[in-house]
Amino acid sequence: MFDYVKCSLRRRKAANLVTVGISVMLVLLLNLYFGSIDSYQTQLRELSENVPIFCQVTNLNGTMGNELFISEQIVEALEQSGQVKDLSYMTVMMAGEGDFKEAEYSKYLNLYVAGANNVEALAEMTDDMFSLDAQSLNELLASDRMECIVNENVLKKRGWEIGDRITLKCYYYDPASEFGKIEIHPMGGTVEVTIAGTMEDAGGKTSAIQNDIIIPGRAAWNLFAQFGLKFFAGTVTFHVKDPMDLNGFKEEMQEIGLKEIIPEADTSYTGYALVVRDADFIASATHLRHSIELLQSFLPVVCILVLLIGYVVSYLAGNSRRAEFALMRLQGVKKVPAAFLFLTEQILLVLAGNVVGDVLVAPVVSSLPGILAVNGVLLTAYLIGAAAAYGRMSRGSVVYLLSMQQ
Amino acid sequence: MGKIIEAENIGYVYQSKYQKTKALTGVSCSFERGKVYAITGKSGSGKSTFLSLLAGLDVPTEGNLYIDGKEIREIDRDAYRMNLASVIYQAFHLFPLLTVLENVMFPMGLQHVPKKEAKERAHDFLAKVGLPDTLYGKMPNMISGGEQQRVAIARAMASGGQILLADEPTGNLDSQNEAVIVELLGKMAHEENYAVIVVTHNEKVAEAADVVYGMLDGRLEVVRA
Repeated sequence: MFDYVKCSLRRRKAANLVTVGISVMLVLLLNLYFGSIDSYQTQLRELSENVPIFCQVTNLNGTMGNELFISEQIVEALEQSGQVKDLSYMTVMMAGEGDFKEAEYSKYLNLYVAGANNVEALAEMTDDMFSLDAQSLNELLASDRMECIVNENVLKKRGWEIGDRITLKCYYYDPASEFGKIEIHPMGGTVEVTIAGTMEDAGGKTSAIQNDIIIPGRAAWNLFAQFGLKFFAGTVTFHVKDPMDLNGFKEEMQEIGLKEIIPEADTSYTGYALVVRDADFIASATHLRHSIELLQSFLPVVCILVLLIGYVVSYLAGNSRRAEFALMRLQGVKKVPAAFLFLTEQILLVLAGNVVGDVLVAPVVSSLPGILAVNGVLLTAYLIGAAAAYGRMSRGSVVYLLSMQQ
Repeated sequence: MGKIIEAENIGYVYQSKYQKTKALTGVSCSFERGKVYAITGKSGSGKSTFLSLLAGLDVPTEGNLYIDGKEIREIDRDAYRMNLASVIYQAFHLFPLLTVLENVMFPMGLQHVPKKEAKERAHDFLAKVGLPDTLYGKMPNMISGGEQQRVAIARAMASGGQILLADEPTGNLDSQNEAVIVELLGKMAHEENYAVIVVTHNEKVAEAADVVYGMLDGRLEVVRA
């Protein structure tokens, strides 16, 4: 009996090619449809990487993002928050070399010192501006080691060398200063720092104030604690960890004590407001969601269309075999095996079409579940159509079917 | 010789959604192997319906039809057609996708005859019906009507049955081929010991038969015993 299927597959070339061709076309179309949805969903998932939401702590009216007084509690809470990633903070101090009398501060207090927890915290400075490689630099800044990076001009001018231990007397900016009247006070003693590397003098290259010495953020934090002072950061920036949960993020920021910008508020140095640059993200996410929803709304139509095409093709193919079916019956083949024979042939052709279609889309569509779903939908459609055709055929009278051929 | 088919007062009613049509009424007759029977009558007289019942393609709505002593409703009618009875038609009804040889091999395939043996026997049957071997590899649509009917007869032989039912077997043939087919049907009965039952309104075919029945308005009567 299966020899008959082999003969039929070999000899009904044109009809078989049409069936295979339609299957291939449907596989391609369905993959195009599901692939588009998948692509949009992937874009949405990766949106937070590609369009990260940048946040910066500012003063209440949002006019300043640097040289602020951002409390230790806020920085600590942001460090521990599950809604925050890539936290960068920097604090600025002044220092003089060696131990000197306070009365002589104007003579000795000439070094700008920054404590930063990563390179991103150092405005407009990049990895290639440092003598340390990127990994060592980031390891150092993320640590609490009492080591520093010195501006190469300062290093040369003061005759320092890498590996030297230098003594600094540090001064801090008073958070209680009135706006426009910044006061500085000695921290209370000296500290020793080892020079671990140098950085280019960025004079003119960046608009930011050039720091002379950079120490790790946590080391600066410890320095404040060592002298019994509350740490504060001058700049704090970060990204939203899960942009899809913006509402949860905003709720947590409120709990931390960060407020929304109030443009009409007085200008101050206190940093406790938050700028969330989410407009681009929201626009992109909304666009992607709309596209996905639009495509998904067509799913029933696409499924019905595929089922209909599969059904009709199968039904017509089945109907064209009625005379052969009747001949089989005339030769004594029972209804079910005869119908099964044609059904097998139909399934083989559809499977061949699916395989060819899958091979064609494989370089583009990498999702195996997607490909299986497409094949499943198509096979179901064809099977229903074929079952209907052969079911109808097997109910018909053999004499009638033969007389139709006659 | 025993009766291979015996009809006992059979009747048949076509029942559609809206009406009933009585096609056969009180048909009683019997058929033996080794003889050619002709059933003549006008179109619509019920001869093809009767042949369909004899082929087990349907069952009588009244009366009993015995095949080799067994009532047709109680036997596996598909197996009956596969092993005992073959049918040939005016339109030949060969498998269009199989070659001449494959068509003749087909019934043997159903009976699980090994392929090699089936091929040899198919060659023999085709030779018996006088078909040149140059045609064995041809598709049915590439040979003439007379040749196609000979293939159909060879296929009937291949099923190894005892009954050959023919519905207007010469209806599509010219007189030369008609004579060949009539001769072949006679050989099937007299040499191969088949019960050959031919439905026809062709007088020449009827003349060649051993027994002639006439069908009129669904009733069967003996014309020539």
